[in-house]
This record gives sequence, structure tokens and C-alpha cells, in this order.
Amino acid sequence: MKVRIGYAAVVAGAAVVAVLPIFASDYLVGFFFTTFLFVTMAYGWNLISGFTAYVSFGQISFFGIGAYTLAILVFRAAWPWQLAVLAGAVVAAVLAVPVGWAMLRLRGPYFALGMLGLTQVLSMVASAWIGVTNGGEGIYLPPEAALRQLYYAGAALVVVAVVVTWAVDRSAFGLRLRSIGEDEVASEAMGVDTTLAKLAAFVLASIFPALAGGLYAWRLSYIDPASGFPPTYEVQTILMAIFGGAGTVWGPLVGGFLLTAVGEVLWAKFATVHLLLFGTMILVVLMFMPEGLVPLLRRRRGRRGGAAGAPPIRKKEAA
Amino acid sequence: MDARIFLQLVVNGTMVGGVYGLMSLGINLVWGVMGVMNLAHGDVIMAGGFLAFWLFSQFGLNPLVALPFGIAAGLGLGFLVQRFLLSKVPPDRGAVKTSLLMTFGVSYVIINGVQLLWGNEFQTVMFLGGSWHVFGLDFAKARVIAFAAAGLISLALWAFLQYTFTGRAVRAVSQQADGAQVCGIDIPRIRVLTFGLGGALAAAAGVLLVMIFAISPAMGTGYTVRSFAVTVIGGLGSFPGALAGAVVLGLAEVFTGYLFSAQIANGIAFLLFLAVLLVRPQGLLGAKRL
Repeated sequence: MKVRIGYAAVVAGAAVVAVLPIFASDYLVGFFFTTFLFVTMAYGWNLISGFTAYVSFGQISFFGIGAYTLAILVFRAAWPWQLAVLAGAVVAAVLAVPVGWAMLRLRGPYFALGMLGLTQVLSMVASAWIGVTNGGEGIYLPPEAALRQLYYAGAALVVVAVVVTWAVDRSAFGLRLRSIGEDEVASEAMGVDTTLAKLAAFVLASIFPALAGGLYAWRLSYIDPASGFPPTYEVQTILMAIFGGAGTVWGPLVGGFLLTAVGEVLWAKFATVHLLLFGTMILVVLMFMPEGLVPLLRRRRGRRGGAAGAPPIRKKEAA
Repeated sequence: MDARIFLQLVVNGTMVGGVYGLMSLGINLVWGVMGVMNLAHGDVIMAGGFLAFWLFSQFGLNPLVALPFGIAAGLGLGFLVQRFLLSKVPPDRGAVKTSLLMTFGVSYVIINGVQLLWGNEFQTVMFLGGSWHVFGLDFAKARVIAFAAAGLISLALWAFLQYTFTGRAVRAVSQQADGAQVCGIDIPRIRVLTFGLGGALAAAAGVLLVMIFAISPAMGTGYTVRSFAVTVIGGLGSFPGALAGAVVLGLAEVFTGYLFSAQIANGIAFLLFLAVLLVRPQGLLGAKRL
């Protein structure tokens, strides 16, 4: 019964999302578009950091790669933006192979620091490689972005992200990733090719921020090192994923929508303290709700004798 | 490059390296004793620098006088974060992940706090201009003073860890936490103290750094990466290693800055970090423990 209510909510939500641009104001459509981008990025983070124990603080690197690929292709080669967005994902995925190969040999904090450094180096490349990126001046794009087109593209991204995560969650691949998150050495001893599984997750996780970055750059019709690699987005993405529940299928969606909606109402006017709020909320979530909202609700429901509990193998409760 | 420029760059790099060494000691200590990677380390460095800038511009206190204030503030901040946040992390397999995310959150609280208190601009403290000339080389006064102060503080930390009872307790916890507990060492207290010391060292490094470079609130992450790079290059838990790693990084930055550009010099820490981890994970002079 409860499960059916869940599906009904998804269907109703999808229907609202589908018809919203017909009557809603530009402001509202723009707000939803931004939310879609964040939710997509949260799903990207979730694939690598939610399923395995590799906490990435550098997913924004791929966001920047997507944004810059779009800007360069549109500006210098006059590509149509749809193709340029997809090209950004390809570039990110191709780069993610050697980067992941190097980074994933580092574990725990070393990986975290490596990813932090990666963002720094890429934004440095964006400032220094003036011939291609225009350096600190940035690239101006023709301001032709059609908001409603972008809105549907963003919504499609979210759908793809949910479906991919859902598929990974129930596949043997997802199980391998979780086993790496639980205990990498044991997982390897059991015959899991951990290097391959991690790399596949890393590459997959790089595609989503790259797609989001491409859409973002097209909407902004401008990109420079600061807007291409915004640390604020990294914080926000991670906060959304852990608030909703890292390593779950619905966590990033729930976390993303709740936080942006609450945020829009509560603190849209306090732009100067955004980082403070995000940072504090990360701490609050970790202290009081470390599993995130979705597992918390699911357990509540289980206790009330609702639908059958979680699938047999789950991340250990109370991280 | 003629010999004089070469030697001048070596001098400059070494001076900067001294401060980098101090920067890395805090992250090294916390990581070695507690197994916690403090992603807010660089932000405490940055905040220490801004505190020194504020004390200088408001009250005319020079950074050497500001040093005790910076150390006290860093100590207090470290105490609070460990006592009220990190100590609440359940010590299971997810602990590393949770503590990383926590210090990541703290890092943005600090960045935003500094922006609110002291603005978002680049700042520096110009209290000591000019340089001494020895053997035809320039020793910028501010750099020499910062280098010397960093050396003294590092020495004081070494003496504390080596000779005092509490210092020995810290080392004992880093070597064998269970064994230390059996001997009656109050582990939670040592952890609070260690994290406080980490904060104090970071803030002190920031106070000295602001004498040499201009800093901005966004630069904290870069210093976290640098501090950890030094630790990795030199090897975890080794004082001589930390010094060597710091000088290597200082020289690498000064030389790439001279030969290429300052922007590329900013990324060199990361490249060294990655290269060392991939080729020689125990560091150049890696010791097992503190």
C-alpha cells in the first residue's frame, strides 16, 4: 500500500513537472531548472560517494569541464548547444578514466584531498589556458537560451539520473560498489574487481555534473573560472545528497527538492551567509540524521508495520 | 638563469618553506594521532592570517605580537570542533567519511565567517619592508622573521611532544591508542588537545603567512592541499620529513613561479602530492609514527 503511494507520488510529481512550464512564470521555471541541475549533481555524487566510501569533494571539476566544453564548442565552433552539452559529458567521461585511475589508487582522506586539489588545478588551467578558455575574462555566449527548452532538458537529466541510480542499485554492479564501501579489502578478497568497479562508478559519476554544467553555462551564456568551478555548488550538492540519504535511490531527489524549496523561501534574501548555512546544515545532518531522510522515513514506516523492509543487503545503518 | 638568480630563488623558496613546514605540522599531528583529515585546516590558516591583518590595521599590532592571539584563537576553535562535533562521530567504519564531511562543513563555516567579519578582498600585512643583503643575495626581512618564528614554534612543538608528560601521552595515543588507554591516558582529552594544537599551529602559520603573501577567504582550500602535500612529500609523522617536504614545496613553487607563472605555481602542490602518492606513498623520509 505504502509502496503504491510512493509510486503515485512519483507519477503525480512527474505530471506536475511536465505541465508546469505551460502556466508557470519564468521565475518558477528558472527555479525548477536550477533545482534539476542540483539534483542531477547530487545523483552524480551519490554514485561514487554514496555507494562506495570514496568521498569526492571535487565533482564540481566535471561540472566545470561540461560548462567549458559547451562554451568552447558553441563559441569557437558554433556547435548547436544540445550537441555541445552531450560533448561535455563525453569529454568528462574520457578525462575521468585517467583521473579516476590515478585518484582511486588513493583511499579515504587521500582521495578526498586529491579531488579537492583537482578542482583547484582545473580552475587554474581555465585561468591560464587563455588561448582556449579566454582566461579570467571568460567566454560570452549568444544569449539565446530558451528557458523552457532548458527546463525540459534538466527534467530529462533528473529522470536519467534516477533511472541509472535505480538500475545500479539493483544490479550486481551496485552490490559490488556497496561491498567496496563496506570493506574494500574483503570485497577484493571475494573476487570483486574493485579497481574496475570503482573506475566505472567514477566515470559514471562524472557524466552527470558535466551534463549539468553544460546546461548551466548555456543558461548563464557566460563562463569564467569562478562560475565554472563554484565551490558553493560543491557544498550544496553534497549537502543535498547526505540530507536526502547517501547511497539511496531517492535520497538526492528528496534532499535536492526539499532543500532548494526551503532555501528559496527561507534564505534567498541572505546571500551573504549561504556558505555558513550550508556548512552548518552539513554538520547538523551529520550529527542528528547521519543516514539522511529517506532511510529514516523508510525505517519509521517499517516499524509501523508497513511495506516489507529494505532489500537484504543495505549499507550498515548509522554510518 | 644565472647563478645569482638561482641562489636567490633557493633563498626565497627556503624561507617560504619554513612557514609551509609549520602549516603542515598541524595537519600531520591531527592525522597521525587521531586519524582525522582536517579539511578545514587551510581555512584556519587563512582565518589566522585575517586575524593578524585585522589586529594590525585596527590596533597597529604587528604579526609577531598577534601570534599569541592567533594561537589562542586557533586552540579554542580546535577545542570546540573536537569537543562538540568530531567526538560525536561513532568510531565505526563510516568514521573517516563522516569526519571528512564534518570538517568540510566546518571549512565553509569558517570561510563565510571570515567574509562576514573581514570582507572578501585580498589582504596582507606590510609591517616590515626591505631586506638584508648577505653575499649579494636579498633576504627579505619579513620572510626571514616569518621563517625564524616558524622554526621556533616547530621546535617548541617538538620539545613539547618529546619531553613533557602530556606530549608523550599524545605520542603514545598516536602509536597505540588501546595501549595508551590501558596505561590510564584519557584518550578523549588527548584528542581534544591534539585537535586544539592542530588549530593553534594552523592559525600561527596563517599569522606568519600574511606577512609574506596576500590572502583571501577563498584561499583556505589551497592551503589545506599544500599542508597535506607537504605531509605526503615528507612522509607522515616525521619532523625532518615535514621540513624537507616543506622546503621541496617552497622551492618548487618559487621556481615554477619564476619560470612559468604564479598561477601554475599554485597548482604545483597538487601535482607533487599526486606524484609522490603514486610513486612513493611513504613519502621521501617517511617514518611510521610521530
